This record gives sequence, structure tokens and C-alpha cells, in this order.
Amino acid sequence: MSNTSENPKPSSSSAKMTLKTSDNELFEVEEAVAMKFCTVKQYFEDEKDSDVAARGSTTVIPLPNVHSAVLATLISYGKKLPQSNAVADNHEEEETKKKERKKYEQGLLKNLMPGELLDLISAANYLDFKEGLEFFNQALADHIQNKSVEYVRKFFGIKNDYEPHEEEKYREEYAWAFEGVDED
Amino acid sequence: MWCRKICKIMDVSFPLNSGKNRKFRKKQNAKKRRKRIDDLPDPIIQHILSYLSTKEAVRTSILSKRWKYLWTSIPKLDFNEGALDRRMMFMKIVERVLALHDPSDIKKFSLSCNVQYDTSHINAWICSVVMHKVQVLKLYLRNFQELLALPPCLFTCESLEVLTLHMFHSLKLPSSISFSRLKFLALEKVIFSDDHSTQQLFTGCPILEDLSIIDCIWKNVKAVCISSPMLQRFFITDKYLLDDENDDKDDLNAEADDQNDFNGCQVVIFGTSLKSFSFDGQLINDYCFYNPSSIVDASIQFFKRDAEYDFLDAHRVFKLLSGLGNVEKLTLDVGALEVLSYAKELFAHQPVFYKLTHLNFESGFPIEFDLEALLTIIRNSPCLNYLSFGTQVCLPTYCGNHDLIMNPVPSCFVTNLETIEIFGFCGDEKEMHAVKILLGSASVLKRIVIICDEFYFDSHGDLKKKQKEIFEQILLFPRGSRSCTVHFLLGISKAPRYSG
Repeated sequence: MSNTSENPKPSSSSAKMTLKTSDNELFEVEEAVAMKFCTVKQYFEDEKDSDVAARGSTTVIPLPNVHSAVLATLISYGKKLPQSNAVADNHEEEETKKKERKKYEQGLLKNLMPGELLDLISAANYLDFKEGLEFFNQALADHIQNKSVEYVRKFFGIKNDYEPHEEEKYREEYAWAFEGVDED
Repeated sequence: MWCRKICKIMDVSFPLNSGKNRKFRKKQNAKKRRKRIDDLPDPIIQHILSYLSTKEAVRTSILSKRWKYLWTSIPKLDFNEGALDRRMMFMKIVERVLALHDPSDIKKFSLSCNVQYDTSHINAWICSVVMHKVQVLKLYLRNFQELLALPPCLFTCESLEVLTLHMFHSLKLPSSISFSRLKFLALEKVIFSDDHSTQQLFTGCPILEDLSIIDCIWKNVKAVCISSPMLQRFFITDKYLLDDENDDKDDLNAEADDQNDFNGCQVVIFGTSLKSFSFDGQLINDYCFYNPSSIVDASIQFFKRDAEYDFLDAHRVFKLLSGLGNVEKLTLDVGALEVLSYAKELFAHQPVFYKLTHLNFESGFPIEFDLEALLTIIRNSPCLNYLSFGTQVCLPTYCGNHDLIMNPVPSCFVTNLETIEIFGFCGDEKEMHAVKILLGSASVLKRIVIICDEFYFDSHGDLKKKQKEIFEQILLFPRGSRSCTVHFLLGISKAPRYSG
């Protein structure tokens, strides 16, 4: 079943591409956005070389490592980025768009659980989506900043397999790194 | 299908036991398990770790055995020595982190610490990062108890693109200097040792684009030439004599900033690509541009020295201005123009700024509009489009002066000047007179923007009410240009309040 993206009317200048996720969902995405996923871009360019006639909507690009929910978020984020082929906005329009983007980003992060964030990072890495990777990695880093080791373990679901005396030894050796941490 | 999609996405945040969507959730769980960080391969985790600060990355070694060495590939290391009583621990950790780092590149290394007697350790660390192909190196070293000679390998580092060195210490340089990739160099408080090595340093940066020399000590150098062909931005500060407390002064360098019998270093700049030049401080050194310069954007902030140097400073200011003939945007401290009056013979030879469109006058004191050197600059800028005064601009009110000033009217006032901005306006008699003259003589002016000094008006409460009156008075001044609007802002942070 095809899932059309938010633009109801495909404009003549923007070609669309179809991406197929691991759970067999099809996403129709504008070329400009899809090209931000370098893996897709590479695949598309390889396809183009081999088949001159096929273009855009007739090619379905498989993404076996990406689940639909994750792809939906990544596409949504990609759409909000400044488009490389967009007409240069004047200063005011740029400022408005920036504010909108910030609001969107905050909203996106607020409801994200750690597992989802990791899925997004993993998918962005697979798709070679640089801006997405940068954004989600930074979000993750920001979240665990200044948090205690116990918090980070719980957050990521990491099981501590050190012996207590081992852990104590490392804490002492790296005492410099433990200054100024929220012990929660 | 759109509906189904929405349900799937919302599903994720429902608590585990909600009966409502059990059917969908079962499907979900079967298809994928939420990723845990330990499922991710090492390269992805290492990439995530590269977004953490050094301290945080090191801490992850304690998360679990798998994480013990994952952090050792982080490309960015930042060490800032805290309190002195933790020094031993600090030294140990830097040593350990560098020793444990895997062979991958250390792209950025930043070190801020006291040196004391540990020069050999610090040099070993620098060598280590050089071997790890460091690209950005920032060093802030202080409290030397022994002489430091930075390792020679630093000066032939082929990967280095950015180097910041802040130390109040003599710069002992090796005989071979070759920064083949260095684009950005900043030296702060450095004491140059001699002509030859200093010259070699600047010559050894063939693709340098940005050079900042901040409060360095030149007394051991007589002349140097800066000729990097790709140099675009050159920023100099010479304010160390103004600084009463040099925090970095220690036993080794107590006498270093004594300036007796020092006429300054002659710094010749061959700037074929130079676009931006900024000087801030006292003209202890003699700067001059060799060829007709390509500088587009310049800023000169000037601090006066003792009266015995006035004549010399006047000539040095003149030399600087002469090298800026092609500038398009200029910020000029009025102090520099005031000192020019000590060498009036130079006035006739003032350069003409044929391309100057933006001129900003800055000052710590109210600007006297009838300053001869100031008027000369305006007269010598035929294409001036934008003129601003960073603080109050004043004109004494006696008539005699008035005639001379605008006689003849500077050509740019008649042909090009469209915007005048005045900051720090307090509304006194002299300022009003200056505004009157400006409004009256600028015949193609489109706007005059007057920004009030908020602090002045806030502290003189009764004057605040007068602001509207002042504005209305200004509206009545005869305008040389029919299409000119007066904008009266009550402060920098406040939106325009009155316009007319």
C-alpha cells in the first residue's frame, strides 16, 4: 500500500522516489529530501546508470534495515532542513523558518524514548543521513551530559558487569572525569 | 492505511499493559525489538561518543566491560586543569588518555594548564597528538618554573590546520618550520625571541588564511615581514601595556614587557589576498602595507601613549591609513584621528578612499564633529553611502565654526550619503546642533537614525518625558533631502518609537 507524503500535488519540478522499509511499507518522497540520504542517493545513481528510462516513481528503493516508524521521522526531519534547491529566502523568511525548525526539533525530542533515539541514530547511520546523524547524536549526548554513570546505565539498559572493587579502582583512576557530575 | 500508520507511531509511547492496542503491539514486538545501545556496533557507539566532552567520554569506561575502551577512539580531547591541588590527578589522566588512545586520529586537542616543572611531560603530550595527526591544537600554558622549548615535531606537523598558542613565555623555535596545512594561527602574549626565527615562523605558513597576534611582546624583533600569499584576515592587538595586571606574569618573565628604548618592530605586510584587517591597541610597532592593498574591511581602535610618542604615533596612524586606500568598510577610532593633529604636515597627503561606502567612527568620548582630521576623511570619501557615530557626536554652537565645517559641503553628502546613524544620543545642545548640520547638508539622505543612550535617559527620569519633545524639535530642523526620514529609537534594544 502506498503512503503518500504530505504534499498532495506533486509539482512538475520535483520528482518523487519510492522507498520500501523493512516492514514493507512504501514511502513516496520528494527527490530533494531523499537525496539527503546518501545511501539512497548512491543507489539511485547506480540505478540511473544502468537504466536510462526508469526514473523516480517507477523505481522502488529497498531499505531492509529501516522500520517504517523510523523512516517516517527521518523523512519528516529531512523535510524541515533547508533545501539545497530552494530559492534563497529573504532574511525574515529565513528567521521564521529557523524558529519553526527549532520548535519542531524540540517537539520531536521531547517525546522520544531512548530506544527510539537509538533506532533513529542507527537508521541515519545506515542511510548515511549526515544532518540527521548529527542532530540525533547531539541530542543523545546532550541528554546524558553531566549525568551519573548509574543514570546512563539505566537510560541505555546497560548491565554493569564489573566487580565492585574493579569499578571502585577505575573510579579512582579516572577521578578527574567524575568532577561535577549530578549524582542522582 | 494512513490511519494504520498513525496508530503504529502512537503505539510506541503507550504503557505496556494497555489492552487497547494489544493486537497491534503483538505485531510490533514480533517484528522488531527496540534497539538497545549494546546492540549497536562499535563504530556507531564510537561516533556517538565523539559528541561527548572528554570527561564524559572517559566516564563511559565504567558503564560495563564492553565500554572499557570504546572511548579511546574519540577524535576530540579537551583538558582543562582545574584547582591546583588536583594537579597530580590531572597530569595522570592526560598521560593515561593519550597512552590509551587507539591509533585513530586525534583531530582536536585542547590543553589549558600550569606548566611549572613539567615541560617534558607537556612536550611528550604534544608529540603524541602530532603523531595522531592533530588538526586543531589549542594550548594555553601558564606558570612556568622552567624554560619551555616546544617540540620540533610540532613545527613540521603536516596535519595541523589550526594552532592557538597562548603563553606569556619566550617562543623558542626550531631551525625547521613548515606548517604545510596551517590555515589559522593565533598567538597570544607570546614573546618573540629574535628576528630570524620570528621571520621563519611567518614564512613557514604558506597557506595561512587567518592570523591573529594578540598582545605579543616584540621587543626582541626589529623587523619582520608577513607575506603569506593566501592571508585573508589579519588581526592585531597591542594592549599588553594597558593591562595593569598581567595574570600570566611569573618569575621567568617578570621583565619581559618592559619597553624601555624600544621603538617598536617594523612589521611589513605584503597582503596580496588580504581582505580584512583589524588593529586594536597602542601603536608600539610600526605597521605598514607594502603594496596597494586589497583590504576591503578594516578597523582601527587606537589607544594613546605618553605625550612623547604623539608625533611618532601620528606618523604611524598615517601610514596605516595610507595602506587602506581600497577599503570599502572602515571602522575608525576617533583617537587615531585626534593624534594626527600632532603631524599637521601630513594632512595634505591624506589618502582618498575611492571605494569607501561604510564609515563608522568609534570613541570612548563624545565625538567632536569639527575635528579637522575627521572632516578630512569624510571629504576624502566621495562614495560614502553609510556614516555612523558610535557615540554622541557634538558640534559646538558658535556660528563661526558652522560656516567653515560645511564650506564646502563634503561631496559625498551631495551625491551618495543615504544613511546616518548616531548612537549614545543624550539630546544636549551640542548634539542637537550636530544633528541639525548633518540633516541640513546631506542632500540625498534617505534616513537618519538616532539611538538614545538608554542609561542616560533612565537615570535622568525627567528627561525621559522630554524624549518626544526632542524628537519633535529634530523634526523641525530643515532637511537637505526631501525624502529623508528621521528615526528616533529610545535605546539599542528598543524598537523604533518615533519616525517622521
